[in-house]
Amino acid sequence: MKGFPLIFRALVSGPARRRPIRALLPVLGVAVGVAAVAAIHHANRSVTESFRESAQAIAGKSDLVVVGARGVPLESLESLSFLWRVGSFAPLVSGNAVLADGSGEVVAVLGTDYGGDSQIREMRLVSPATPAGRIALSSPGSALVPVPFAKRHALAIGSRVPLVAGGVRAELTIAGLLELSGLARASGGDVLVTDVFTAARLLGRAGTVDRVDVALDPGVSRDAIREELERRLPPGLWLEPPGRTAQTAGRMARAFRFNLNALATLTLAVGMFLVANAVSVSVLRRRAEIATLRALGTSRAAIFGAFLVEGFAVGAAGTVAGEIGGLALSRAALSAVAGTVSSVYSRTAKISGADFGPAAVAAAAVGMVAALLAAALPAAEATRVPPSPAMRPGSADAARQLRLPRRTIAAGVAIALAVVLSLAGPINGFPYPGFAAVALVVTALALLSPALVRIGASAARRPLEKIFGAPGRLASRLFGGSPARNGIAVTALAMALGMTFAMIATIASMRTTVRTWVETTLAADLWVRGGAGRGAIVGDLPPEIVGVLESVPGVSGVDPLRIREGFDGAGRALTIASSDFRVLSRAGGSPLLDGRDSRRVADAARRSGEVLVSEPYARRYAVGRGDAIRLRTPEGVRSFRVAGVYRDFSNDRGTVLMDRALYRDLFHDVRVTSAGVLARPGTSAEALRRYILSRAGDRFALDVITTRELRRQVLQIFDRTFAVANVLEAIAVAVAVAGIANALIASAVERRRSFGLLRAVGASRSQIRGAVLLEALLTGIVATAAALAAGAAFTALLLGVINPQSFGWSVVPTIPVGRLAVAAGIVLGASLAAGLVPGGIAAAADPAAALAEE
Amino acid sequence: MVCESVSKVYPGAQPVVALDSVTLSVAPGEFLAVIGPSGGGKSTLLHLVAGIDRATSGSITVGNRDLASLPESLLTLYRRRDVGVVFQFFNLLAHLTVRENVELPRLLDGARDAAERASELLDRVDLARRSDAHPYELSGGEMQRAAIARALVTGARLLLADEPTGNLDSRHGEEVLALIDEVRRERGVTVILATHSDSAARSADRTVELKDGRLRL
Repeated sequence: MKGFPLIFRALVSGPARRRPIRALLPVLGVAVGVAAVAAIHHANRSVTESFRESAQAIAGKSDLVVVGARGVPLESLESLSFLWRVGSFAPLVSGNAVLADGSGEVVAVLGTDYGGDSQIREMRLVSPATPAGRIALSSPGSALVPVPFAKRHALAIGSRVPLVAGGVRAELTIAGLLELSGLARASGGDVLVTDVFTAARLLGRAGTVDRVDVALDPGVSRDAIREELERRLPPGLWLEPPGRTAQTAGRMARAFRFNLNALATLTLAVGMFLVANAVSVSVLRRRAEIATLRALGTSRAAIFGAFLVEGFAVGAAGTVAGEIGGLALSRAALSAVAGTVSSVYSRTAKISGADFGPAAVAAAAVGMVAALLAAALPAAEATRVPPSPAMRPGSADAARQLRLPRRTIAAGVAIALAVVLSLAGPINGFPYPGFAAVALVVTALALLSPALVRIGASAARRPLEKIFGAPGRLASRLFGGSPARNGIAVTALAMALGMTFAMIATIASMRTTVRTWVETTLAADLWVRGGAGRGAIVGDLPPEIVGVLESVPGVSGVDPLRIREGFDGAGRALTIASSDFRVLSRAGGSPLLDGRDSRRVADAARRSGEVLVSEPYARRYAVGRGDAIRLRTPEGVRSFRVAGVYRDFSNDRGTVLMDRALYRDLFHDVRVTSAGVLARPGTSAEALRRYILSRAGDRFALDVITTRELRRQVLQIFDRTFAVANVLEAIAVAVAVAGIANALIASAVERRRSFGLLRAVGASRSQIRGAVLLEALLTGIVATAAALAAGAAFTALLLGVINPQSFGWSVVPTIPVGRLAVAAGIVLGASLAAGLVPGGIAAAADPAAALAEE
Repeated sequence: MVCESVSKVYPGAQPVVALDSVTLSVAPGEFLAVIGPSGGGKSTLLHLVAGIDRATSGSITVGNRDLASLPESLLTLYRRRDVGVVFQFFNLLAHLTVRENVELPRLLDGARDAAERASELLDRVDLARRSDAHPYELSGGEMQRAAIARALVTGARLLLADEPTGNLDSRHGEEVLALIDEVRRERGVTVILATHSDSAARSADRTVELKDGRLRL
């Protein structure tokens, strides 16, 4: 474009060079947004990659996987022997153990068939190198560990590793060291590889393996073998593609990851408003220059291009700074996300940091597009600056046509659309319509903000004048006189603050709901789990523990809980839980959604062989009381009638809960995941805990905690999960408050002549400074009021639409008035502080210079 | 330049009739002064002829172009190539040097001789030594001379001057008017000068008066 460099200098780079500080703020806005997006994207990608890598390490080169409702019985391996003619197969037993070396570290235990496995899973032995040493590998009680793991725990060949698995203490002997590749990369390299029988014994799975991986020779038809296998497999066993585990693992946390991404995007959206604000201010301030350029024959495209390049430059600078910040922030985000994933979704998940590159690229793309989009609107507005009237002095903001009635109608349409979208269901399991409704509320806010500025200024005029005199009146005039510019500042702050209010209300509502749920669900007095101290809980307990606990004096009942992965009739993964419904019918359990007495329902379900399903399950698969559901069992697919839907926050993929007797009969599984112990009236839970440990502590490695401690642990996990959200919100509000300062500084500079004239007619510096400070406060007040309305809409969408559709959890709304008031107070204080610099600029206006201009 | 029954009405709650059926023609090379009180419609007329605003009704023909029928893109080219405007408040771009301000319209047209033409004109208006200064470093008279150089750099045959002395003291004002007259004679350009000053109008070949939007010949 001819002459473009001069146009760009006249409109953009020249002013920016003279006032570099002002140009920095939108750069900072984009930088913060890009940093948040990069860090969250990196953390989320790390989670997905870690799941995928771990699943890939275990699947190796397998073409098909044989799995079963209760694992694969060893005797059924015989039916697979025909596979040796066309390939190979290898069983695998997997589970978790806790190192009892004081570290409390959770490790994966993988039991493999060293012979058959070499065809499927890669294992490279570093030592021993001698044939004699290799013979020792398959001796019972031996384990191989990756070299880095051995180094970290100071292990060598012959070292003994104390650990707790299946609720009992055991010891393995290190027989070999593995290179960190192939199978050794499972669970991030925190793995003990043993032979199948050692692992099965250690994990209490005698007689079964978890899966059998099948690798076919080149040229063998996979479809033909699949058909053959399906014919030969006994009931309760079926085939899966090898990638299924990775998919299942990856999908588990996807709603959580999606929501984090949405939050990071919100931070970027605030940055976008700052870019829009900066470019808009730039356009307003350069109206006369734009008009002159237009009068000289500059095309609209050149004007548009100049301001778009400004957006591009801001985006590029912000992106570079944001990537640096994102790299630093990613460690904290990764730690928080990994903590949540391992406590909520998968206890054995070892989340290691993925390559930052893809996150950096994604964040850069999002940052640049956001900056360009943000700049495009004011840039387009610049092209509409008419060459004639704009050249008259004093025409800047007044000349801007706000078209308030049209904006109000558009806002009404946006709100109506948001309401319609809020009624729509999820798309492919994601609450896309809900998020679109949030975006529409933001749009309505942006459209209404100039009107809100006018209304706010008008409403504040009398009270401000009464309290502060002339500066008060002046403040309301200043505020209401720049509805376009102040509208953008109000929108940015109201959006960030509204989201913060919504998050505060949502988190408080969820916390209250979860606390109530924990209090009603955890009816037992004590909880007994397999553990190794230091809070490391792992694995199952042997069935004998039930009898041992029942025999303890002071115990009135024991509820042996069993929680494990299961599959519905279509092969979709879910959680199967069993509990002793006789105990539930006495002590009660999770409250039912329809308000019926959980004790009566449990008793009736036990008698009729019906099951209960969790709320996330009911929502995900649209089932309710009286419906039939199908589950895969070792005896084949079985149908069950649903006796009720209970509230459950333990996972979001859905749980089917059945009576222990029914579960035991169907799944032939007697192990216990944890046991709830009911104390007789008058028996102290603490005394009972000490007694259980003294009586059973020798035989079993137990972690016994009181219900109060368990409730505290649950709420700690909850708080840790939302720590990231709180940090992102705080950043968004800080950036938005900085946006107020930016808008006011630009405004003060632009109106310096007016302030000079005011000084010339007798206004004191303090009066002018006071007026600008009050204008800043007014901006904060109007934004806070708008944020309360927007926040209520966001909260309704989060609690009523996005949350139930993402996780399947319904939450009872709570309004934490105190916390909301504190947040609003902080923002109002910060708004006032944001007026200090522009107040100083305005107060310093020179009356002589203003008169000379006149 | 021919205006036929040109009217301009600014809409609003109380519409303002800035020009009311103005009919006027200016011959090539003529120097016309449009005088009248403030608010009489002088600037509006110049803005319409300059193509930076459009008439509500009537037609304005410059050369063989009817401005009303030109689309925005051609009107932009018209402003860029065929007409030069000098404003009361100079309207120089603060972040460009004097030379860059003068070069700009020529550069917008992609001409390679922008620097050469700018040097020549800056020399002509006696600003060669100040060419690297920024507008805010110049006196009012210097700024207006720079604005005249800019208006002429594209070789426009029509020069419009809207109160070019309105912001200058009398000495600088006279200098500017003399300069406009000189370049008109040298280059044969047509000049329309809007002014409320009778003395400024004296240098014109012909004078018309605009009052309340109506022309008085």
